[in-house]
Amino acid sequence: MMSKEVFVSGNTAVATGVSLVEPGVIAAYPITPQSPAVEKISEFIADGEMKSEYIEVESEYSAMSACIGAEAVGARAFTATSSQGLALMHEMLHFASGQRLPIVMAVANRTLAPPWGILNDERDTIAQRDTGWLQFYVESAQEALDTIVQAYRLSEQEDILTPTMVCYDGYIISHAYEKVVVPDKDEVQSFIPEYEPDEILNVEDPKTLGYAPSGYNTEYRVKQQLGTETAKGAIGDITEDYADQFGRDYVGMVEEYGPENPDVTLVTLGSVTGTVRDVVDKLNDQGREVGLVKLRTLRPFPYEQLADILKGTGAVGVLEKDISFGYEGAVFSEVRSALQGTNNVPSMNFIAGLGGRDITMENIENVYEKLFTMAETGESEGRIEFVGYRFSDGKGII
Amino acid sequence: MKTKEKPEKLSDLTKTPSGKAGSFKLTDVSGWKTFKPVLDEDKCINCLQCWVYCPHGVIERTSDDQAISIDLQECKGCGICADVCPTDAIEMNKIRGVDDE
Ligand code: SF4
Ligand code: SF4
Repeated sequence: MMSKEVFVSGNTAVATGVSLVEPGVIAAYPITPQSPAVEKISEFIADGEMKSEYIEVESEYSAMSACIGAEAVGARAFTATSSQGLALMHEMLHFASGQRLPIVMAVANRTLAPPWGILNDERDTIAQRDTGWLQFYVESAQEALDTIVQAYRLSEQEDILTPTMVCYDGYIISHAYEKVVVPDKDEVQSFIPEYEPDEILNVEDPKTLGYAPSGYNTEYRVKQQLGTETAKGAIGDITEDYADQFGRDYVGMVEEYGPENPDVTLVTLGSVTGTVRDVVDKLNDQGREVGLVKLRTLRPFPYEQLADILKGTGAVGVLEKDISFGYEGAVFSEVRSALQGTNNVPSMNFIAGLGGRDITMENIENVYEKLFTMAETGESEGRIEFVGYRFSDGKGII
Repeated sequence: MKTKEKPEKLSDLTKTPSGKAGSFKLTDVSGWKTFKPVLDEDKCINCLQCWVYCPHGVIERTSDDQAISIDLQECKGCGICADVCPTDAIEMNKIRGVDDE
């Protein structure tokens, strides 16, 4: 079999990526907008295209628990969820990462209620930032498929042993159809080494999992931190190997787009990156030197690279689909902390796309205009702007 | 809390927080209880209710003449055994000091 091109939704691309890896156990509970992904997986299994065991569970909490059980006996596991379902998993997310079980989970990003909504923003996964999982934010259905394959190799690396979330924007990616290249299954299998964990439950050599001799909690946390730090280098290596073998290069944790040394730079993540690319092309064609930085991972956080990329630019904006109430967008805080000590570049947070609000090219052009003004004056035009705020009472800028 | 193993560097620890089955026993928990069960063998009718109900499985069946013995090292002092005993053969006594465990 060779690679082939198909025209599919993001959810089908995710399911296809999983079918190429063929984990031992899938345990998932349906939730909009993830449902078609897990329906497709169960279809693949029913049709004999995938030999995984599909465990039907009664909640997302159980889905994650079943994945933990599966990995605890040495099987590869996969699950997928969204929004409220991810929130329900919260407790078990810590069990997965703390026990160092390299589960891979796809999350179709969806807003958290209330106000009730099924459309996209990234508040659901950003709220799980501190659960000890690695987090990728992808830009397309193709990247979702490819990142799932990469995630297994990354998570299972012996000196990493950390679960990974592959976050793909609900509807914008999950339900939109794209041309997707499906790599050859044997080639994917050769890209991911055999999974042979040794600290697993085994009747021949009974073990207690989840337990550490008391007094060594800190030391196990140090191991966890070292594992996630190791992931930084590994992501670079794995994306490079993937590019060599499959021809698609996702660069690593961050990707720069646009001219070298742009006058102003916008940092963003997820599907909106595609729209920003078009704006960057348009403005650069008009002779305006604007740059884009795509943040592909939020954990591990590539602060060294960001500091290096952003230190020479005139103003930095961070466009994100979340907010940490009482402060600012979580990604903005992190980007600013990465900039600490490099220079005094003015920066501003642009909160956009909440609850599925469209982010138009015009919105992004306005963001770049603001960054140009900031670069000229050396001062921010406010700290946080809610992009597309509908009222004219001036409260959309804080 | 005492542990019986003494790792000295990160690589001495297991890769993941795990240990041999029964590794909870490595931690000395005998000091966790405020009350300890005291068995009056004369009152005991060997019905094994306490053995069934003890949530920590620390009541052991012994011989036919004397059905049970309690492992005070692992007992958490919850008092369930005393509560379920039909003949009040188990009394919960307050522990007065470290030596009284
Ligand atoms: S006090 Fe509780 S833990 Fe101790 S032997 Fe009785 S039932 Fe078991
Ligand atoms: S419940 Fe009471 S009578 Fe029955 S075995 Fe236990 S101590 Fe003896």
